[in-house]
Amino acid sequence: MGNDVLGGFEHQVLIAILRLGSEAYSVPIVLELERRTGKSVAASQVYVTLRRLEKRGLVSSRFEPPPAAEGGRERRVFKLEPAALELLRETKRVFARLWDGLPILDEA
Amino acid sequence: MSGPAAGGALRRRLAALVLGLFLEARERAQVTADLEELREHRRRAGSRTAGLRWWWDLVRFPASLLIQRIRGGSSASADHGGVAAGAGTMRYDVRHAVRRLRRNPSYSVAVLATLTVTIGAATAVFSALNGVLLRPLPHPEPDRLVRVYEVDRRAADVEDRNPVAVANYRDWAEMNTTMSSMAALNAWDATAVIDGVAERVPVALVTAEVFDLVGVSAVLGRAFRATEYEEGNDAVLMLSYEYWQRRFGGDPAVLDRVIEFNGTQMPVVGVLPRGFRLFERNLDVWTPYTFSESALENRRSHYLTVLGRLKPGVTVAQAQSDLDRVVDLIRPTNAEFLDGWGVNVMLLKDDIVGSARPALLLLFAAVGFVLILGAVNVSAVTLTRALDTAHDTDVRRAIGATRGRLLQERLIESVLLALTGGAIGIGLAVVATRGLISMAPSSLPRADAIGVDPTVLAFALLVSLVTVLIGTVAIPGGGKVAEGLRVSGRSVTSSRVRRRWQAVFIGSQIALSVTLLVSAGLMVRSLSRLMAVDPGFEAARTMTMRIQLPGARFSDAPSQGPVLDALLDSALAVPGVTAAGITNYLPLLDTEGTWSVQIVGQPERRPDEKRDYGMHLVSPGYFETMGMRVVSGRAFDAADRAGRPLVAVVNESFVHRFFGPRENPVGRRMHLLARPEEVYEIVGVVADVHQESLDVAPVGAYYLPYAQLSDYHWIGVSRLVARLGVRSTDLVPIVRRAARALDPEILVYDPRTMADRVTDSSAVARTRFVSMLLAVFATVALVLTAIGVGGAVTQWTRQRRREIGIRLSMGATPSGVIRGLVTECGRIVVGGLAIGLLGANAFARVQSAMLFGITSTDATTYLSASLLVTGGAFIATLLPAVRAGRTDPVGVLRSDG
Repeated sequence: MGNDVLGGFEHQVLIAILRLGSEAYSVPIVLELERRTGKSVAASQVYVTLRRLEKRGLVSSRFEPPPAAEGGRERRVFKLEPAALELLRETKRVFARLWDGLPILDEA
Repeated sequence: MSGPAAGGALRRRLAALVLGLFLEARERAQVTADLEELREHRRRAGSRTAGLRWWWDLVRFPASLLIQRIRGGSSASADHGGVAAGAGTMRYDVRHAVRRLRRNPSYSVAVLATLTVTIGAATAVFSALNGVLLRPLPHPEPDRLVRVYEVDRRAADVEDRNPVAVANYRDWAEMNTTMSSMAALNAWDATAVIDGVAERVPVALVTAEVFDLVGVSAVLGRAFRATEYEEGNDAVLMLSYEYWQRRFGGDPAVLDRVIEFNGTQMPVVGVLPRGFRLFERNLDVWTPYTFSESALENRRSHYLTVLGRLKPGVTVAQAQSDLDRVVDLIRPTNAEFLDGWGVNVMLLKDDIVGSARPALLLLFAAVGFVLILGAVNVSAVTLTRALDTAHDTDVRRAIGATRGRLLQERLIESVLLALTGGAIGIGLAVVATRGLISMAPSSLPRADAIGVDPTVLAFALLVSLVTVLIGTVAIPGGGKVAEGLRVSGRSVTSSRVRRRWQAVFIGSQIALSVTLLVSAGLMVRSLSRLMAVDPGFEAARTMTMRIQLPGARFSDAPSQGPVLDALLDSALAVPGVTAAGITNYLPLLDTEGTWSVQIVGQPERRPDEKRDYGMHLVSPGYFETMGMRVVSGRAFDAADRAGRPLVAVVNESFVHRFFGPRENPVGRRMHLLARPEEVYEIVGVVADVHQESLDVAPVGAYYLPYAQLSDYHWIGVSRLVARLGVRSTDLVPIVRRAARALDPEILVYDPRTMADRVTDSSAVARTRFVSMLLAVFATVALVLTAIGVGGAVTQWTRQRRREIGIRLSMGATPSGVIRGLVTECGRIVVGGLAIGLLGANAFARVQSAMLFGITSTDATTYLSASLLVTGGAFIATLLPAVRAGRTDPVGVLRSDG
């Protein structure tokens, strides 16, 4: 499979990172996905997906030093690479074209 | 070291352990912190399953990482989260695995049986450990709660922890700088009259600080007001929730009730929350503690239970040195009472669980061995299966299955087995835990906190997964074995690898079971030694019961004595009763009250010398009833009554303490240090009795006939003891009837035979409990080992069928073949035995504090354990060896040609 195919969960994780912006490390991503999808999400699933996306060059990460506040810790913060943004845009366009003209299912 | 902080540390350690297999330090720290943060988020969001989710997330990590690693992880096909197709593959894999497992029932059953037993045992013991040691006390910030004792350092060898004298408590509370508050309480049994019926109620007298200190307030009504802690206003009660439910049906109108309590009418003002307990005691009624002027001056009588709450950030050690300082300050002006005395601060939780900790940790270590044995067995069975199916594997690889794919299948099988075995094991653990609690000695603290909770479930799940994963994936050299197999089952390399591993399996199983057997054996032998201790009295056919007189009408010894005599007469009149007596302190059960004594004619002793010993108040006939031996002089008789010369009997330890070896104490005179005007003549010496416990040496004690006591004395709760010639069920009802006729508020309760009291006494019950559990573990270990060894030898002979066939056809005799196999196996067994005995010795040293009457190197135990294991291994080897001896050489050679 080529580099241009997004798995369902990968897709969700990328959107979550987009939404979270500079706060995108694993814990908010898990919570964001749970909040938006209404399903429970395993931390390990997010972890391996992020690693995979990084390997594919879709996201990059850096370790941020602990915030000054008490109890802080080092965080690995993720950010989307241009390729990911392009892929998301493209996927959205494809879906929009696919759905174009169809009656909307979930409001029946 | 309890509370959420300890829980967090434990979780971090566990996470580090699990993740350490897969991740580097920095990543591991990230993930560990992530999991903790998620748990905190979920907990704050009100999720009740946050703890469970933490475990589940942790457990899924190794699985996700493994799958990712196997699949190489660069393609979207690895993404099966929320994608229908991915879930479908998973479902297919699971179905396929189930089919494979069912096709190979001997493998599945062997693994499941092993898992069930080991996980059941491990989970049951872990739930006890969790409830007693790990769970924080149910009070806010339990890490700041401490118990404070006075320590009697005059007995040179032991630090004797004591309750606290009122004046000392007052000084500590006022002068310390490390506690935000200190509180005192005192608990005993009182008589309450409710609707005209008298009953015994455990009551706590508490100072004003207690409820704040443990963070509890009334759920119904109110707590005591500040003014109610003043003398004269203190006749008010609070009830425990349980007592309110049990006795008043949970009726809120209880707040309008007035209860006659120890002869005083007292209104109920409030009810405490459900489940609120202090010190593991069921205290039904609470009432304010006020101290009289004389009590506030008293440094002699030690009876207060003292609690403290450390100021934030203060350690126990800092509080200890602070109170040491306070004691040093008040000592010079109170040398008479404080010389030889000190103070001891300890965490409340350590105080409560202290005695149970070593036993529980020992059991947990033992169960850890059983777990390792289980894992070893699963590994052995799985390796065997891998070798058996090697051909199948080769074929599948040849037609294109990737190694990752095959490993993934095996992983799914393992997880399935782990979950099933874990589930059955948890079921077994639930049953076993209930049994454990019912068998546990009553001295086991916090037994009500033991149960299968999410932490325990998660533990069981984790243990089963780890056991199976270790057993299947992490077989060291597993990959190499598979490679070696590709040549053929008969190749030299593979059989060498195979045999080396089998030897390791057998050896380690032998070593582990010997360790467990020795440990169990030492406990069993301690138990029999303990039961063989001469307690100093005869427990057989002796019935005991408690008698409580209403304090208001019978407030001193002269008024209490005749009532006790009357009850004694009623017991003696029962057919079958051959002797009866009364005492205030029953051996092995009651803690003695001690009073300082002075022997007339001996110099006054230095204040730092111990001379307070148990003062036993008894009836004539008590020694005879208990079968206590009179060593010299005489016992009490009916003539030792009020108005006659005062007499005393002392025990042998007392004689050792106060008189020289050739001095005859009979005829000497003594008095209580506090009452020089009442001088007793020592008329007899009785043999020592184990008062505190069978494993604690007897100490000095003296006996006074209660009939002669002045109104200075008060007898308190007494025990009636009756020796029965024949079995009688009439005794208790008859004494009860006699009591009711004398006064309806006299309570007769807690009837039990003395023999039962001996078996249930704390040292015996603890030793029996630990030895029984260890014996169960040792048996499980022995059975697992026999199965493991038998299985390995079977495999071994099957592998070497060809070699055996050749040897037989070349003229070797069947018995020679058998001998060869047994010798080969024996060498491994001896190796395992040697390692095991060394391990057993190390382990036994840890448990030496729990042994009684034997040392941790008791030769008999080591020998019997070795014989048992060797015998088991021999039998397990013999069966397959005999079968191998019967091999038909021609058939083998032809088929394997």
